[in-house]
Amino acid sequence: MSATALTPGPADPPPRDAGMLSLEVVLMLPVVALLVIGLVQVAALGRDLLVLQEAARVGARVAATTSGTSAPERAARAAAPELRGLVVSVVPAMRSDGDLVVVQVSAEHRLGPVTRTLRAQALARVEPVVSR
Amino acid sequence: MSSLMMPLTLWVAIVAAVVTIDLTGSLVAAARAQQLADAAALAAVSTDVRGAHAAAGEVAEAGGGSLDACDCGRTGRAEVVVGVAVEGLIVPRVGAGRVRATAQARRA
Repeated sequence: MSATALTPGPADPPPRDAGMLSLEVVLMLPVVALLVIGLVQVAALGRDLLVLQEAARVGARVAATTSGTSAPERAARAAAPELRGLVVSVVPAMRSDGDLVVVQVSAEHRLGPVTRTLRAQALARVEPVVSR
Repeated sequence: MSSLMMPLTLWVAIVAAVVTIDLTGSLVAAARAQQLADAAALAAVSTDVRGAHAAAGEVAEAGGGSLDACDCGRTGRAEVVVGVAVEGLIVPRVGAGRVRATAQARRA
């Protein structure tokens, strides 16, 4: 039975890829941050589209029971106060019972450096309470 | 493990982007379908029974949808189902390309 004395030797050299993971995490952080920001922007775009659709719906509903353009425009703007540059069009402006009225709304949405115009429309049949 | 991080992150980002875009498309289509269904039902009760189906169909088609069903045979009451195509990347190609909405209206 023999025993070998363990003598302290030089420490094992660190593996060649030591520190690679943390370096990659550091390099990936801006990429991940950009991706998260992009996703948030896309979600905001979707939310703006839904708000725009709701504004068009409200405008069409008011247009179905009134004549002229001011009341539907006011209603649409009140339904989407947070949208910038909201443009509302009501066609036809003067209408009577049985007409189809179309309300189109558009607003600007910034997606990073790009500004896009979002559009939505809704329509309704003018109700018998309205006469020209 | 470290070599997996970049492709994994990209995959997660791509899947999340597709899900977000398709979810938004579905929600917008559902909102449009509900608006058209409401307008079609109101149009149906605004006319007499003989013209109710035609009035509802006119509204639905003018808004880019289709009148899938119309129970318009009773005076002053209508129930309509309107379908609208969904815009998106994956969802429209896997068989969920349309959303439907139902609305009822009754003349006061």
